[in-house]
Amino acid sequence: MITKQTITIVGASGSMGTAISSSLSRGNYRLLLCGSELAEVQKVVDAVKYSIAAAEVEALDCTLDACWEADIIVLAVPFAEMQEVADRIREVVNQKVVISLANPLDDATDTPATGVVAELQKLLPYTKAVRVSANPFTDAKPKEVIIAGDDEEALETVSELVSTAGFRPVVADAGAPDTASEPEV
Amino acid sequence: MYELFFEEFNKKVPITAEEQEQIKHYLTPKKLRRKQYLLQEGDVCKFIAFVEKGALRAYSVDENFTENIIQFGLEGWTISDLYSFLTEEPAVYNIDALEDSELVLISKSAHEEMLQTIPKYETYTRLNITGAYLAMQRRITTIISSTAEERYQDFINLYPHIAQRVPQHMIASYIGLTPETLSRIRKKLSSGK
Repeated sequence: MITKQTITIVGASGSMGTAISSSLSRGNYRLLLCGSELAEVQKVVDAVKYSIAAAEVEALDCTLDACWEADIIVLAVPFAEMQEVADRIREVVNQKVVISLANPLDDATDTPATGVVAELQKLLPYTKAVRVSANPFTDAKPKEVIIAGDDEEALETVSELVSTAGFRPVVADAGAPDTASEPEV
Repeated sequence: MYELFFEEFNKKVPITAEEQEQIKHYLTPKKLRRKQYLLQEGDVCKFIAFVEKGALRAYSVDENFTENIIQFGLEGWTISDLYSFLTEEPAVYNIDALEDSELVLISKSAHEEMLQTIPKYETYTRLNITGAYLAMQRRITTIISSTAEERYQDFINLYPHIAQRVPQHMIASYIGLTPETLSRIRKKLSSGK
């Protein structure tokens, strides 16, 4: 795609958010980073720009505005925080691709029977929910990343994104449970 | 976020609150900053954009790198590369924002689904495309049969609000004149000759 896509990363100053921000900055994307502490998010922006001077990346203190501008939203927040973030951004993410990096196994909450995609889809019903997680069963290089979701176009978009970030995208079979893998990307 | 969209929709096809809610689920709210692209030539145009706030333009770039403006999109208008949107062939136009803008996007899949399931959306689309066709016919007639001065005056009469918001060189491009020619015409008109 020639037209630059805007990706908003919510939870950008966490370890996952930082990693994903720096890997995506190599692509033809404009990144808007949000987090609970703007100063921490700004540090991530500075680090990204230090390694890739041409990267188009910016810290924003309003998650709602950042998601309104976005074409794609990455939720780099724990599963337990997904609901709170969803409530904040719901009205501006309609029909957009929303990616969760959450791993319920890491959290104190019970693993939802239906998986992260279904939970995210329930929280944000009119979005194209996708889950991205590392494949724990292989040491292949580049690292394999499993992509799960129901919308074909969204899976294609996210596969492209994952490749840009330097990983090998593997689309999970439709209907396969997406509850039992690790999230580190 | 969707106020103007539904206001315009209701003017064309009155809908109930339930129908409005149903349509809303298919819409994508999107903010675009000044100078950012919604679409670049070569990509398939995947959206029809309705302008809630702000201003956009669609233009092609010729071999001399001259921008030729095909369409402006201000509040209440839709803008797209319709040929690319409908045929899924690469776009020949670029669309970018002249001001910070708020858009309501309708994706190809949302458009197709609404055409199938919401009859009033089909009527709305028919009226929109008819309007666009009439505007295009008028534009072609003006370009092939009017003098430069007539073209400018026609533009000012038809779109006085655009003339106030966009730079003169863009108006010149839209009506197929060089900025120098437009400047001469404006001088002539203001001196009353």
